[in-house]
Amino acid sequence: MFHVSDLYLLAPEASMAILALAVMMVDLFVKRRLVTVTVGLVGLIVPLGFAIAQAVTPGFLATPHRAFSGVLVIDPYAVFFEIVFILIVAVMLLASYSYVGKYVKADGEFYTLMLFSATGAMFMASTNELITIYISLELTSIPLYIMAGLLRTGERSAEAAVKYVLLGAMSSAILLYGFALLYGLTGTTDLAGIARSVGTGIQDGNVLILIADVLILAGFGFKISAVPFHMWAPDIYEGSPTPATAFFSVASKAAGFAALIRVFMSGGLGQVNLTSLTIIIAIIAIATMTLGNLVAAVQTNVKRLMAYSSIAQAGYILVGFLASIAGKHPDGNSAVLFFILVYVITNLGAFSGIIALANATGGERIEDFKGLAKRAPLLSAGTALCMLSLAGIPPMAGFVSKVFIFTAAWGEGLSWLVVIALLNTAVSLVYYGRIVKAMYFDAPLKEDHLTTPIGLSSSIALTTAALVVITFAASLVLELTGPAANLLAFLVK
Amino acid sequence: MINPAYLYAGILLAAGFIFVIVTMTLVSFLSPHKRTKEKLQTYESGETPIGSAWVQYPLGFYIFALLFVAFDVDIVFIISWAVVFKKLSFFGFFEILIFITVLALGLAYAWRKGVIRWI
Repeated sequence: MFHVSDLYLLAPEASMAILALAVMMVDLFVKRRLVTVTVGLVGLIVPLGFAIAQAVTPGFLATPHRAFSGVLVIDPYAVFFEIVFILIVAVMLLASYSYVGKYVKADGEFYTLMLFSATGAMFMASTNELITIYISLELTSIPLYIMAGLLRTGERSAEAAVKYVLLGAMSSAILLYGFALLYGLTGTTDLAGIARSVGTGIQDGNVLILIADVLILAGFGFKISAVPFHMWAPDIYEGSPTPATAFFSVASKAAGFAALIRVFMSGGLGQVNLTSLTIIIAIIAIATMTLGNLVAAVQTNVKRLMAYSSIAQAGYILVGFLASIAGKHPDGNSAVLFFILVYVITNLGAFSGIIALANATGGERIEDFKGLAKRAPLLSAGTALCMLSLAGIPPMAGFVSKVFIFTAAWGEGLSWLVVIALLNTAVSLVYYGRIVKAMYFDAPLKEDHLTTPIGLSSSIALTTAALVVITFAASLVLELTGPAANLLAFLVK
Repeated sequence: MINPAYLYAGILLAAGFIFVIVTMTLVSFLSPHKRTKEKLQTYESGETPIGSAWVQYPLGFYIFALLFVAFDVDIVFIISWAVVFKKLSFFGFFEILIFITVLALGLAYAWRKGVIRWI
């Protein structure tokens, strides 16, 4: 039943949806991009305020709150992802400002769509019911399909959009099939109810639940671009407007993982057929890491490279995901959440650099990065830091987050998987290093000074600063992500 | 041991296919083929067709179709809401208000973008 207090629990998502509508109306009647973006940025304070208020109220998140008959669940996990998505939008609004004005048609719609997509992503982290998860997934995805096609010039963008729609529809169908099987087996769409059925009514050796697991993994596998469901990523990343690509690589991926982890942990799917499930996820993780890293090493287009890099990163996250369902251990989960947070920040930073370069020169190849350190020193420094962090060079946050994930997996007896992941990390140095080398050790293409617009410089500065803070205060951040993970582990028991 | 019901269903399925194939083949052999001009016309529910069937419609027409779907969905939800209105009372009233507002904003968007101007 409905209680007025439920509205407070819904407030971050609801205010985000209202903000999206408001931005749409502002764009419609004012038609000035600066005003639209300002309204968006200032308006983000409201959902962020609600989410932070929920996070910092003492004792509020000690027990999960359920609203709207258990459809919405507000726990540290949900609030963590809500805040992450709001911050992603904030950084993206800054980073995309000048690029959108130059290269994107329907510039106002671009922001509206991004906000709607983020609303869906927030719901994906905070719903506890299969149908709502599916609808939130579509709310996240459909704006992304349109964003992929918004580039002003080029058939590639239209091609990317069409590919994205078709493959997205297919992945949704597969996911729905998995959900339908789950519903047929348990008689409920509520994840808590499913968790009750799994382990009592459904025992080890039940093939149908394994098929449901695989279908759900495949459906979300498209969202997180895990091999063998990754083939859309490079084409779509390359064809789409660069800010849209950046948004796909962080928001869509984080949302996919948020929902995947929620379904598997809250739905208790890891409790039966654990051996088969471990093998399946391990194979997917190994294939994802290895293919992503090996193919990234031979790319010449930076956006394609980042696509394969994000595929490889999804592989590392899957290692942590496997550790958390294998062990029902909070360490696995807090490592995953920490890794996702660091991945989001570094990827946003790296993409801010790529957007800045594309914005200033129109170049998207690795060659275009040559000597960038002399043409735009601050931009290069930020981008290089993010690239090194993505590669996992020791003092950086990316290194710390990888260590957490790998130790969690090692603790669950997945040492062979960790060894393969470490080998992959070594391979990834090659291509991240190539970009850094091009920026710092190659002769510049032109002897000029590139100007970076204020929005882009601030997004690079923000992400780099966040990266440095996390690097030196990893334990502090882990304390923040820890409760979110602990709670999920508690829900499973 | 296979349930005999499957066997019967299988026989029925095969019989269905065979019946259709046999009758259609027979018809094509037995029926007379006299192609008159009237017979080759496009079937328009008995009316005499005007012009070719390959007429080009304006591409922008899909937007009208989209708007129509918006209103269609509107009606589907409002009717089902009206049926249980008494039970839901104020909660339902505000719910449908939010729903209509969102749709109205969509319409405002389309209007402002000039898509419902007569082509």
